[in-house]
Amino acid sequence: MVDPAGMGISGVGPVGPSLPAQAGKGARAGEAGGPSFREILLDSIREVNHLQKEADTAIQGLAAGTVDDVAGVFTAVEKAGLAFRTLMEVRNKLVDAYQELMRMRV
Amino acid sequence: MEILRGMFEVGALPVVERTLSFTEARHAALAENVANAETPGYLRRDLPLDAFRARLIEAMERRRPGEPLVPIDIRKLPAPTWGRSPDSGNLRHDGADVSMEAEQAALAENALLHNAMAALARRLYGTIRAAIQGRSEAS
Amino acid sequence: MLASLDISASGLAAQRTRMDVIAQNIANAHTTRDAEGRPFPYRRQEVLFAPSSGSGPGVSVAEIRPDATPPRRVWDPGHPDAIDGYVAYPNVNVIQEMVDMTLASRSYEANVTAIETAKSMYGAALRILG
Repeated sequence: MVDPAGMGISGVGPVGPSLPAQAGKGARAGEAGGPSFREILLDSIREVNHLQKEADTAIQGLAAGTVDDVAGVFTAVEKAGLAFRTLMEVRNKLVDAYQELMRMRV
Repeated sequence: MEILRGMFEVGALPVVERTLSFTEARHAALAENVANAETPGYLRRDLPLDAFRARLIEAMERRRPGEPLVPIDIRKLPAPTWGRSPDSGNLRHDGADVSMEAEQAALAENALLHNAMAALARRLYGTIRAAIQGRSEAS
Repeated sequence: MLASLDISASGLAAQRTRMDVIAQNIANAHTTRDAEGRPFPYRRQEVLFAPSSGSGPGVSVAEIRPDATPPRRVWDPGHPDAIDGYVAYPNVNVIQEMVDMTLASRSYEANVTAIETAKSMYGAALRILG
């Protein structure tokens, strides 16, 4: 994903502890050959997917009686939920930023 | 619509739903035991949790990716082998075999499982709703 | 889920009837004459439960029947209700009735707990709707 106006992706704002750092990396992506923003996004999606699978497994374990640690299950569910919400927030901010860009008369 | 099946049939959601059906049915059986604790000749009924869980694990193991979870027929669960009053038989002249303490304990345990599953179902549906709406939280 | 409320409610009703009968027994523990004023002792009543028939599971009071135990005869020739010097007192043992009342009360509370549990479960399911 290129950054034509040179604005830097830091316009996304703080949405989690690690993302601003990654956003900073993304701003330099085109220049330094580091991970592209696309890769960072895909990584986040994979992570959310992974956490949701873990949460699913924990829930099924609770129902089946193979898991006794209720707090552990709820923690896994909460983690997956927060990761999902973070991803959605980032996605929405990106969409907003893109739309604003498109509205600019250059 | 295939897309709907994909949303509702995968993962933990069907497992949670089966468990909720079970806990509701079990509550009715336990409530009947409590109501009939002093009815002469009444034998306690139950839907044993361990039998249900065995069926659930079996269904989960048989499920292939993309396939729905098989339904579990609650009425076919075996009869309970615990929970009878220790003084049923000789001591209780009316022949009822309900142990109030065992029923209360079972009611509480069942309610806890039910409420936990309901809270998780709420979460799972909420996530689906949020994803559909394109929001980070369901409204 | 809601059907279980009916089941527990039937338990409440049954225990309530039982408590009423016990209260009547206690109140009449020393009643030596009947409603017409004749010397005839009160007969202890007892309730008989049976599983609900017809409208779904639960319990109901099948019968309120008199206890067949004979009345207590006490030698008291001066008593207005004495017959041949003996007064016939009701076959009510107040201590036994109090114990029974405690048991009925405990059963009543157990059905209340079942209802509260059902309400909690129903509320949790309701919250799935968000």
